[in-house]
Parts: sequence; structure tokens; C-alpha cells
Amino acid sequence: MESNLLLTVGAMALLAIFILSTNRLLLNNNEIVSESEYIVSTVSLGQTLIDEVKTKYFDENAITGNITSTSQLSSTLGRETGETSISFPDTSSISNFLSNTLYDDVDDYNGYWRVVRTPRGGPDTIRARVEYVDLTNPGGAASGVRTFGKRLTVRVKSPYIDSTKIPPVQLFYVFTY
Amino acid sequence: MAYLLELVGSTIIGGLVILMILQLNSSILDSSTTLSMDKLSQTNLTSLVEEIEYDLRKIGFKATTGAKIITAGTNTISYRCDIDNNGTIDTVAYLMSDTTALSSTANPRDRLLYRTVNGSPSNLTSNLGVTNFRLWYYTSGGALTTTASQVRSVKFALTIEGVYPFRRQFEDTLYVSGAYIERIIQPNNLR
Repeated sequence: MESNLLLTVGAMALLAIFILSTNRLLLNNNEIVSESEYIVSTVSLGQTLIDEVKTKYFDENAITGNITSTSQLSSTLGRETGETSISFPDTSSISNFLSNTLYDDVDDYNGYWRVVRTPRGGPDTIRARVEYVDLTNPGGAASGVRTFGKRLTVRVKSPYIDSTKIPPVQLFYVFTY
Repeated sequence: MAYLLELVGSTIIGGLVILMILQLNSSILDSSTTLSMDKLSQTNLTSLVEEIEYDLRKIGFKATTGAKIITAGTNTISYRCDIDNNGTIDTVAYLMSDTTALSSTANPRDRLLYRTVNGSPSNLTSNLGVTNFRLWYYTSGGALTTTASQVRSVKFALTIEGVYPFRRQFEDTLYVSGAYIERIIQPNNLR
């Protein structure tokens, strides 16, 4: 009687451990599946911002004329004095973000951020950073001097992606003149 | 008496074990279905996006005279271009049906997305679970417009959901897999 009971309890414990670990595995699996949907969405939102910046001039001074020397480029990256500023976050329910019309060159997007809601998720936070980079090494550290290359870094954070496990999506694009 | 107790006890324990295994089996099946449906939705989405992107980039290609964009609607677009590069200008259109076109499917929101070239095929398409296809048009200054002649870039958003919603364990509502994508296209021939 005693030994039978011990064997039964042991078998039940083993089965419980097996079921718990399988459940954990399944939960992780479901989490990865759900996150993959949001990753697809965040990448597309980041790409949209890059596509928008691609429609702008390389530099404020390139709007009025040709630039032949790096000294003619903007010394500070961001909105120029006198241009209308945007209060962040830039939000729009009809894809009519203020940056679309108020920003005219790539570096205006330095420090810009917007919040986007999609039909299946959100709000996603999208942040942009622009810096000069050495064109021989565009993926390297930011350049301390003005160059004909500006790197746009877009960082998208979704509330549905656990940032402790998966870092926010980052997209890079280098604009050259 | 002791023998009878042992028999009842072991039957209960055996029953519990069988229940636990059945539950586990159901969870595995659930997870596998979710995975398959999500993968299917995402594959459908990426395939469609590739096709739409390719087509929209061709807006105005070789159309040197006349309007390049004919209709610029919120979920309809038609434009002129030489889509097959054979020297003849074609009219390409994307249009959405309403939900009644797929009222027989399990998902009440899915609709048909038609792509036609010179009006044909007029009603040939497959149900990929499209629930939303939305278009926005921008001028060269980035302002929203609905005037076809002012359009310089086009943004489209596409939502795809699973064709077969299903009920998962411990959930009251139906689970619908899906994904959302958006893109801005700047066709070279609209610059």
C-alpha cells in the first residue's frame, strides 16, 4: 500500500512537471507569434517615416541653391529659426501628420517623434534622430563635422512587444547629397 | 474494503491524468492552429504588399500625354501606365468590394480586393482576408489631396485578417489572426 502510494505521487509529480513545462513552451510560442505581427507592423510604420523623409530636401540650404562645400550645410541639425515648430507627439488619425507639411529638409526630423495607432494595434511611438556620418563608414559613429551624408535613425516602440526581451525596432537610412 | 478503496482511488487518479493529457493535447492543437493562421495572414499580406508596391511605382510610366491618375479614391485608385512595357498605355485599377461580397465567409469583415488591367478581369480575385485597403494622396508639399493631378506620392495601408476566425481555449471571443502594413510610394513618373 505504502509503496504504491509513493509511486503514484511520484508519477503525478513527474506528469505535473511535464505539463507545466509544455504549457510554458506553448505560452512562449503564442507570445512569439503575436509579437511577430506587431514587428511587421512596427517595421512598416518606421519605413513610412523614412519614405516621408525621402520626399524632403537634403538640407535647408539645398532648397535655394546648389551646395558645393560642406561648410554650406546646416551647422545644427533640427528645425531652422523662424520655421513653425511642432508640439510633440505629432498625432493624426487621418495620416496627416504636421511633419508632412511643416518639415522641408531631412535634418528637421532630428528629435521628431509621433504616435501612431493602427487598426490592429498601437499606440506605437516612433522617434527619429538625424546625424552627420562619414560616407566611407555610414554605419559607424556619428561624424563630428558636417558631411554630405546624413543618417536617419528611426526607432519604433510598440506597447505589445516586451522591450525586456526584444529591443525596439530600429531602422537606418543614409541620405547623401 | 481496502481493495475497493484502491480501485476507486486509482480510477479517479487515472481519470485526472487522462483529463490533463487531453487538455494538453487541446492546448498544443490551439497553439499550432494560431501559428498556422498567423503565418498564412502574414504571408498573404507581404505578397499583396509586394504586388501593390510594384504596381503603384509604375503610375504614369510611359504615359507622356493625358492624366496619369484617373481616380484617386479612399479605397479605389485607377491610373495609366505601360504596366507590361509593351508600348501600349494600360489602365490599372485597384478597388475594394463591400463586405456583402464575402458574406458567406466566417469573418464578417473580409472583402475582396480587385486588381484590373484595362478593365479585366472584372470579377476574378481570391479571398486573401483583406479587411481594409486605404489610400491617401499627397502633393509635392506633403499636403493631403484628392485632386488626381496634384498627387506626387501615394500612401496605402492594408489590413489582412484570417479567413477562418476560431475560438481558442479559455477565450470568449473569436481569435482572428492578422497584420497591418502601410507604405508611402513616390512614383518616379509623378515627380
